[in-house]
Amino acid sequence: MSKHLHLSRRAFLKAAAAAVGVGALAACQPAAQPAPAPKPAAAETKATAAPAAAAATAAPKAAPSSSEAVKLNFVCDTINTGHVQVRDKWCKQFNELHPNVTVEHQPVPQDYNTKIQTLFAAGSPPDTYRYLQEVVPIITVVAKNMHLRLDDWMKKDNYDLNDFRKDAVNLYVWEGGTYALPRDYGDQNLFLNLDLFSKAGVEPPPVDWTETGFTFQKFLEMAQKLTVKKGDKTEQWGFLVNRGWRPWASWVYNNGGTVVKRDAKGVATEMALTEPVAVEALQFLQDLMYKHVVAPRPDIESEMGGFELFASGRVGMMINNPSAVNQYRTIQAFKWDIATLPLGKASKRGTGGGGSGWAAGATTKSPQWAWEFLKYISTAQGEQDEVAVGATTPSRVSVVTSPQFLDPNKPPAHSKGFAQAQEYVVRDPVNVRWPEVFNRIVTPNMDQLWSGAKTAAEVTKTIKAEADPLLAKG
Amino acid sequence: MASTTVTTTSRTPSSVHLTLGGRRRIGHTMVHLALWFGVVLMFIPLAWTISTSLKPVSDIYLFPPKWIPNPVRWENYREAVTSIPFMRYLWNTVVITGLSIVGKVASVTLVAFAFSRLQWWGRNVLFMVMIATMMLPPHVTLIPQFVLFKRLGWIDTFLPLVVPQFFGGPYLTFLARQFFMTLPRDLDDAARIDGCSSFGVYWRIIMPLARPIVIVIVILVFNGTWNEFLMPLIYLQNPANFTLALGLRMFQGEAATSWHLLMAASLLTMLPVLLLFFTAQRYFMQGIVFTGVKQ
Repeated sequence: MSKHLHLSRRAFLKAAAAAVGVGALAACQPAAQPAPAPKPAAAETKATAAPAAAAATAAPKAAPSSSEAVKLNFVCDTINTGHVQVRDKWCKQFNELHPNVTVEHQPVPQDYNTKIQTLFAAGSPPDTYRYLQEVVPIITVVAKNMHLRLDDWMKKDNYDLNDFRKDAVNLYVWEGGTYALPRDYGDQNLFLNLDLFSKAGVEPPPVDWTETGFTFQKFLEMAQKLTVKKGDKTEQWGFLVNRGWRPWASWVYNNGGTVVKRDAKGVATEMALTEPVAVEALQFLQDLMYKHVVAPRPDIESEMGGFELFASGRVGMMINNPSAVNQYRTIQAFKWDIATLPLGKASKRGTGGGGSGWAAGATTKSPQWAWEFLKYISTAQGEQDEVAVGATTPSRVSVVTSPQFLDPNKPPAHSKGFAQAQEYVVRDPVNVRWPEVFNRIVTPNMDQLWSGAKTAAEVTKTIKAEADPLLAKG
Repeated sequence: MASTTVTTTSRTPSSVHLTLGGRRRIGHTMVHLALWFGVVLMFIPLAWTISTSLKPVSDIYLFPPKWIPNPVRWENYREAVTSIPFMRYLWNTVVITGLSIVGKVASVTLVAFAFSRLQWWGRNVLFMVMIATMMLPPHVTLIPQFVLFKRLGWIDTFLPLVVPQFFGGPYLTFLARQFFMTLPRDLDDAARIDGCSSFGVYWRIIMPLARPIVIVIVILVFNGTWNEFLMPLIYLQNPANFTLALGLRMFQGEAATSWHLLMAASLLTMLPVLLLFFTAQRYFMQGIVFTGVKQ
């Protein structure tokens, strides 16, 4: 037996050596091919970023060559199937206009941020893509040279930004450079189940954002009247607390507070959630669930789903953004509309919001065609195409005020409120460390508030203590 | 306690027997009731899926929910398979899953054979090293792997999803090794006396006896690959290369989900998994006996 084993071990070693050799050959083979450049990711980014940056200043002088075959990719999250079709159409039409350019639409069905971050981290950013400034702040984009700078291209083409909301454009401007074109500019609104209001004999809240009588107290009274209990069990809730970041920040803004303090450049320097007005607003939200019991606790909401609770007619009011309007339009069981947000101690309303942009990767092989494509999809027609399939709040004034967006034949009846609310948007914090602060500190601590484990004062104190050192480094 | 003893001893043997039978019946009934309760509880999500897949969109959010769809919309299924290239995604998924199964079974059993049946220097240390790699969550290696496959020019192909399957995997190798170690060594010795090589022992002796563990590997790899989301998401870019797991997410938007279509497409996607489970369940039961290894 030992003889056999001895021999087989040799045979095994021979086979293993052969396998390693074959593996090594296989690993070497593609490296010899010209297509993938065998450079370290960082070096590659630098090497290709430099010509791209140079192209951003030098190339605009020359018109894009129309004969050279160019292939670009266009990476987007799917939003809904209608949007996928719209983007496919853009790519097709662009190809018809410029037969030498093929733009490949690469829809990302979910986990868009993971995909985008992997592409950038691996040194192969998309040529063009939907940039989410709330996920990767513009300051990070500039610091890491992620995007193609658009200023020279805009100058060359005399590109007119006037139809875009100025604040929407400014989301992508940092230290004098422009790094994306605005796609949309969203805000937060109160969505109302009108049938429940009329059943409870309650007048719906106002639509006008300049109105001052719809206070936190009035809102609470409304929510109490809309709440229906049967014994110990709540069958219908007056309000649903949207625990998303922008919805809860809106309460802070409307009570005269802010989430972070900013320096002259607009960079977030420290958390401001411990200010009494901010604490009061957040405590008000917790009290709606646990003290006044007019809103479902997170466990009930998670079980049923926030929108599903509203859509099943068991919630009178909830906060959401206009991009969800297409989903609300599937509701046929009751009438619904939108209204302004309740006003606390602030002199003027505020809403969490912002938007996403169309951007080109700094390392794109064809900056001129990437720019041409960004221009093509950022036209008023491009925004109208997206309006037609729902789930967007246009960034162009001409589109957000157009009859297509404010379609009177479709709910909500007061869709003008979506456009008016854009005037009240408070920008998300800008700091390289903000995504880390938000994911690692703000969200888990806010969960303690939503679960009722800690008060707003305790939660905000912890957030400030943990987040400030990080923000200071940013 | 004392009174129980008195009662029992005062009964005739037949009445004791009946009481025990009765108790057993009651016990069985209770167990069955508990099982039925569990079955109903487990079935509710599936029932909701089936019900939603046949509803018009306006009935999805009704409260109280309508369990029986009226009207029954079979068109949802047609719409689900036509609004996305369902058959294309199905084919892609079948190809990736099929190749992954072949690769995994071949590599895992070979490696497990070396770890369990061959004596070689450093075997146990290497085995521990291999087991230690299980501690690395896949997300940690995501970007280095992406860079590697990008340099190989494999992005937007099935290769990053299939080729690694031909290089084993610690968990399944561990399972296979443990199984192989239960097979008597006398079989190897007998084969070697008859002139069998090491590969011959693997191929002619071990693999025919390894059907239960191979089936386990097939089921686990099938299930994992069929439903895998992250890796196809990262490596596949052209929608024509998408798998079903990616395709299903097309119905789930940022702000809107077409629940009726998602549920219809999910049920269709689930069918092969269910079929495999019910078919393979029998083999599972047979496999437990480990036929052919009795000494």
